[in-house]
Amino acid sequence: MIAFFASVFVVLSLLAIGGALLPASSACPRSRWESFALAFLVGSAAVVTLGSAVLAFGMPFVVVASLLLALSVFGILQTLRRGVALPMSSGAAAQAKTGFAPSLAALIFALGLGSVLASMALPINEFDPILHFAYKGKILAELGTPLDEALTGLVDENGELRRFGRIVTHPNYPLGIPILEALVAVLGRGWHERWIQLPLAFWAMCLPAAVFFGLRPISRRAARAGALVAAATPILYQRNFTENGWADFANAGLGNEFTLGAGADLPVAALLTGACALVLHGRRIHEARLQLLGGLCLAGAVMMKNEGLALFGCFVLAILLSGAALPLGKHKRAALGSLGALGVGISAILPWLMLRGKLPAIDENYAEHFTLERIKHFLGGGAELVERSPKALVGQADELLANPPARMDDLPGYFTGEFLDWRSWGLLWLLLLIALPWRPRELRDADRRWLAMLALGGVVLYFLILLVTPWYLPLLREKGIPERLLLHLLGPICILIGWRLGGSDQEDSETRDAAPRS
Amino acid sequence: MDEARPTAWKRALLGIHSAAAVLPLLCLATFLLRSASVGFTADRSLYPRIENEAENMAPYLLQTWRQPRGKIIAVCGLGDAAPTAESQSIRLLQMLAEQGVVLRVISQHAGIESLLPLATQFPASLDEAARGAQALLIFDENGRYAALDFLSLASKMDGQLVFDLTGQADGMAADAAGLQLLAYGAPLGPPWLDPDLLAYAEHLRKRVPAEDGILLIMAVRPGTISGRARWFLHLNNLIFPRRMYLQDSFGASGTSVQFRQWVLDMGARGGEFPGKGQQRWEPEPRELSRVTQVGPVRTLNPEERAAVATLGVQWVSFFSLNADFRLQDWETMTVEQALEGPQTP
Repeated sequence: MIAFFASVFVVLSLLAIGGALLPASSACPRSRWESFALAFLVGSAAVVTLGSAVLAFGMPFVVVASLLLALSVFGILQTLRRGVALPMSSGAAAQAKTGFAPSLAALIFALGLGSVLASMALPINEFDPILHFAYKGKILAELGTPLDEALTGLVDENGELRRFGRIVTHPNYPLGIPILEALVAVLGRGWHERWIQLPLAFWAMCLPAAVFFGLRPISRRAARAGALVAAATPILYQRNFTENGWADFANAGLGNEFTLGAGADLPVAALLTGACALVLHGRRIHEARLQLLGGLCLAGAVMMKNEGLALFGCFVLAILLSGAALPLGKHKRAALGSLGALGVGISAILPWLMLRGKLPAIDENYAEHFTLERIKHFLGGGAELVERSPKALVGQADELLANPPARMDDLPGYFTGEFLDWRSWGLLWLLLLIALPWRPRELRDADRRWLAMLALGGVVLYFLILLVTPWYLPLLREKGIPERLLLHLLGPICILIGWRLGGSDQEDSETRDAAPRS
Repeated sequence: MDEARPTAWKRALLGIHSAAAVLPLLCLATFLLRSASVGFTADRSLYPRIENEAENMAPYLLQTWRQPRGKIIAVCGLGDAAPTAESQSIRLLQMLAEQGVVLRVISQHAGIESLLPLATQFPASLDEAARGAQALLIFDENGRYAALDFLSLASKMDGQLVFDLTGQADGMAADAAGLQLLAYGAPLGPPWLDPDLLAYAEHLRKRVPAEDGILLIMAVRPGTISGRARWFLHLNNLIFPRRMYLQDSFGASGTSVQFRQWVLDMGARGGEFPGKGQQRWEPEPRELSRVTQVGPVRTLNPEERAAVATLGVQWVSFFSLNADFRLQDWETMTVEQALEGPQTP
C-alpha cells in the first residue's frame, strides 16, 4: 500500500513542480486538461534533467528524492500563493475553454483514461521496460548511483571488455525512466512492479492536450483539430491492431506492439510534443518563459531514450535553419526566447552527456557509424556491411556472406509501408502531406517552417540512422522499427495538421477582409 | 476568437482519421477486460498457446532415446476437441508408432481406435498406463490431466521423461518427482513469467545473501541460439542486488544478434568451449532439482578458478543453455564446493 501512496505522491509532485514553473492560468489561459498535461510534462522534464545532473555530479540518488520532496513543497506553496494572488477573470475563464463538442470531448476523455488504466493494468510486462529501464531503476534505488559496477561492469576501469563481467543490457541508455521509477521505490521503501509505473502512465493522455495548447494561439479550431488527430492516431496506444484479424484481440495489450506501459518511445513523443507546443505558444504570445520551459521539455526527451538526442539536434537545426531564431524586427522577442529555449535545453543535457561518457555502450555510439562515407555507401545501394551480425544467424551465414542484402532494397519499403499503414497511423501521413506549408504565404511564417523542418527532418534523420545502423536491419524491422521511431514525431506532425485543418484566426480575418474587396 | 467552420474536405479527412480511434478503443477495452479476468496480474494464461506441427516435434521426441523402438509412452488425453486424422495428437502418435514406440493411450474421446495405430494399447487407468513406461506424453483433455500426480506416476514409471504439449504442466512438481519435463507446447507467455524461472529466482533470493556475488558457468556446449535462452538476464534482474558475473558478458547482454554470436563463440559450431576437458559431476543431493544424472555441474577450468578469486564471489551457478527454463538445468553451490569438485567416495 505504501508503494501506491508513494507513486501517487510522485505524480502529484511532478504536477506541483510543473505547475509552479508554468505561468499562471490567469496570465496564460488554458483549460484544466491542458494545465494537467503541461504541468506533468514540464514537471517530469525538470525532475529527470535535474536528477541526471545530480547523479552526474556524483551525488547519491537519495539527493534526487530529497530534491523532489523539497521542490514539490515549493511547487504546492507557489500554486497556492498564485491562486490567491491571481484569480482567473471571467474573460480568461471563457478563453480557457476548449470548445469541444460533448461527443468529441467524451472520445478524447475515454482514450486518455483508457490509456492510463491500460498502462497500469498489469505489472511491468515487457522485455525492454523490464531489462533496459526498470533494472537501472533498481540500481539507482538500491545502490544510489549509476556508476556502480552493476551498470559499468561490462568493461574494466580502462574501458576494455571484461573476461568475466556483470550482466546488463544497454548500460548507457538515458536515466529518465529509471529515475521516475526509482523515486517511487525509494519513497515507497521497496520495488513494486506495478506502482513504479504510475508516473509513466500519463504520456498518451498528455500528448493531445499539449498539441491543443501549442495551437491555442493559432485558433481554437486548429487546436481542437490537432488534439483530435493526435488522440485518434492508433499508434499512440498500439500498432498494427487487427492486422492478424480476430487473433489480435487475444493479444491486445501484450507484446511489444503495445505502445503504452513502461517503455521509452511514448515519453520521448510526449516530451517532444510538449517542447514544440510550449515553444510555439511562447513565440506566438511573446512569452519567453513558455519557450524556456519548452527547452526543458526538449532536454527531458533526451533523458528518456537515446533517440531523444538525435531529435534534440533536429530541433535545434530546425529552429536555426528556419530563421525562427533570427532576432530581427517584430519577431525579435520571439527569436530571443527561442534562443533561450535552446540554451536551456543544451545546458540541461550537458550533465547527462558527461555521465553517459562514463558508461559502456553496446553499439549505441552512432557517431561512429553516422559518417558521410557510410551514408553514401548505403544510399548508393551498397551491400550490407556484414562485419559481424549476420554471421551469427545460424544456418544463413554462408548465404548472407556470399550475397548480402542491400539496405536500400528494403529500407524505403519499410517507410512507405508505414506511411500507408492505416491500422497504426490512420490518415496521419496523408494529412501531413496536405498540412505542409506549400503556399508562399505559409512559408513566410517561421513557425510553420520550423515545425515542418522538424517533422520532415525527423523522418529523414530516422531514415539515415537506419541506413547506417550497426544492427541487422531485418531484425530491427521485426521489432517495430521504424514505426516506433516515427511515433516520436507525432506531436509536431499533429500541430501542423491541426494548423491546416483548423486554420488560423489571422488567415480567417484576412479572408474576411479580402472578401468584400473581391 | 473566430469559430468559423472548416471546409467540407477538411472535415471529411478529420472525420475519417478520427474513425481510426475505434481501433485503440477496442484494443484498450479488450486488454482491460482480459487483464481483469486474471486479477490484473501478469499471467501466462493471457497468452495463446503455440501449437507446434507434429512433423516438427516427432524427431525431437524420438531423439531423446538412442533407440526409440520398444520404448513405452503413456499418453494422457488426445486434446480438447474430438480428434480427427489431421489432429496434432493423432499425427504425432502415428509418427512415434512408425518408429516402434509402444503407445498406451488414456482418453475419453469415442471412436479413437480407428485413428490410432493397430498396436496401440488402451489401459483402463493412468496408473496402469504409467506402469513400466519410459515417458509420459501430455496432450490433456479438457483439463483432466492438467494437474497430474507426478510423484505417484514416477514411482510406477521406468523412465523419467515427461513430454508436455500443453505448455501448462507444473515443472516444479515434475522436477520434485525426479521427472524431466520437456515442454513442446511452450512458449506460453514471455520468459519472465515462466513459473520455473520465478521459483528458482525465489530459491536464490532465499539462499544467497543480498550482498553476495555469483559466477555463472556454462556446463555443456550451448545447443540453442534462441533469444529466449537468455535466462541469466532475467535471473540477474530478479535476484538483484546480488552480483552476477558471466564470461564475455558484453556479448551475452547485447542484442539478440550479439547473443547469437556469443553462443557461437562459447562453443557452438566449433568455438572454443570453456568446459572442454573438464569433468562433469553431480552433488548429492542436488541443490533444488530432484532430477539426477542430467545436472549441469562440471569442474572449473584454471581461468574460471582465477575469476572466482578476483571477482570476490561466494557462489557458483552452473547452467545449461536451453530455450525452456528447467530446474534440472541449474545448480548453485558455494565457491568452496565448486572449487573442490567431485567428492570421491
